[in-house]
Amino acid sequence: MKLVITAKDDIGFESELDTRFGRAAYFGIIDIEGKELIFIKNEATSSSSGAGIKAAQLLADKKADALITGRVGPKAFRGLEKAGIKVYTSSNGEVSIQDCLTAYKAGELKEVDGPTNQGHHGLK
Amino acid sequence: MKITVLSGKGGTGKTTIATNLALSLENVQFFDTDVEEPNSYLFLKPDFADNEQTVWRKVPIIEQSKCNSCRKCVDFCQYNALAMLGDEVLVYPEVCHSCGGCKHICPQDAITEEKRSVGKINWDLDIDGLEYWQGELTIGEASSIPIISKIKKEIKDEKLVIIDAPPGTTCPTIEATIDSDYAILVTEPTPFGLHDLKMAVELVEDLDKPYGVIINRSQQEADGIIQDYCKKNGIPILLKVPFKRQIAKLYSEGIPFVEELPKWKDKFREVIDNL
Ligand code: SF4
Ligand code: SF4
Repeated sequence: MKLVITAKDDIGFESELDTRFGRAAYFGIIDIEGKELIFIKNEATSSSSGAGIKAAQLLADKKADALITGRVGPKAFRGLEKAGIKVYTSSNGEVSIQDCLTAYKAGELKEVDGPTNQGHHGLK
Repeated sequence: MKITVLSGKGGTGKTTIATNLALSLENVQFFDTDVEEPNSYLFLKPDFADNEQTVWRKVPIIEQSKCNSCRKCVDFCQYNALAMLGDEVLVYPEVCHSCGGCKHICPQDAITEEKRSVGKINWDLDIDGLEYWQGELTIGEASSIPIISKIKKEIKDEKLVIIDAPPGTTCPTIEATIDSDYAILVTEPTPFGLHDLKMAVELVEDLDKPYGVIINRSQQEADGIIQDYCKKNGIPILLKVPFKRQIAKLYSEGIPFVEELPKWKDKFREVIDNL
């Protein structure tokens, strides 16, 4: 099972959680069984439109099963849902990837069933 | 003659100037292209009756039975309006810019298009002699350009055209300015006003339009900040509308100030005569 956590840097389990999804700096991909962690840079951050959609696509391509992040907008959520990726939000002040992973394993994270924010508009 | 009234940001009194200017002149065709928040109707009080036209754009729909998941369309769309999730292509119509490219490149002919409403256009051909047009964007739609281009098709060359542009200096403002003969930049005498004015100046310079400035909420002690800048750059100041309680009060009541203070009609007329 593959779990993805949005991260501000790519230094390992101590990396800080990035609460943005579409514009997160990195995605930490954790293979729960193998306990392995790899990072990929989020190419979507440079998109002027549809960053959340592109990020959802990236996760779908990596065959992620679940995502832990801070906020997910409506477009990204629709994509993640379609790709069958479960979305969890950190809400108890988790700071690092390790915190998130621990909380996830302990069943403390909330699975969200809809977008957590209304998103924002790009250039009109 | 086509004149666009613009400002680098909202809240400078752009619509106040545009509407009062329109009411001071004859044979005017007025366009409110601030389609995200058209508000000139508050002052010009059109009666649209049934005069309404929907503006459409085309967005792709995928015939999943023909699609072989080759992903070419997803990689092509630079706006990220398409995603390949599971084996299906998901379309995000609100992000799509209707470029038509994906339909073109699909090797399976799996993409057709459907209409989606971007907004609407309303009009009143005779408000005491003034012809009025207004565009309005559907909430959630990303781009106002299709509405502004559409409404501009109604421009009549024999009229004196006044376009109330969307605030800002991005594509919609450019679209509202690009076909005009002259640009009036509305500003106010504050550091913010100057900052936004500079951005508006850059826009009209890029478009190579002749332009001048109207200072709204003008106050002798404060005007220096705009005057110095204009003088240094050789930009004409066309008019100053003073910061007066009476004008502010009329504004809050939705009454164009030229209606109550007719000498301002002459001042606006003079501005246009001297362009
Ligand atoms: S029409 Fe253009 S913008 Fe819209 S989905 Fe197709 S490629 Fe993307
Ligand atoms: S290009 Fe056509 S066939 Fe290929 S994924 Fe897109 S819709 Fe399907």
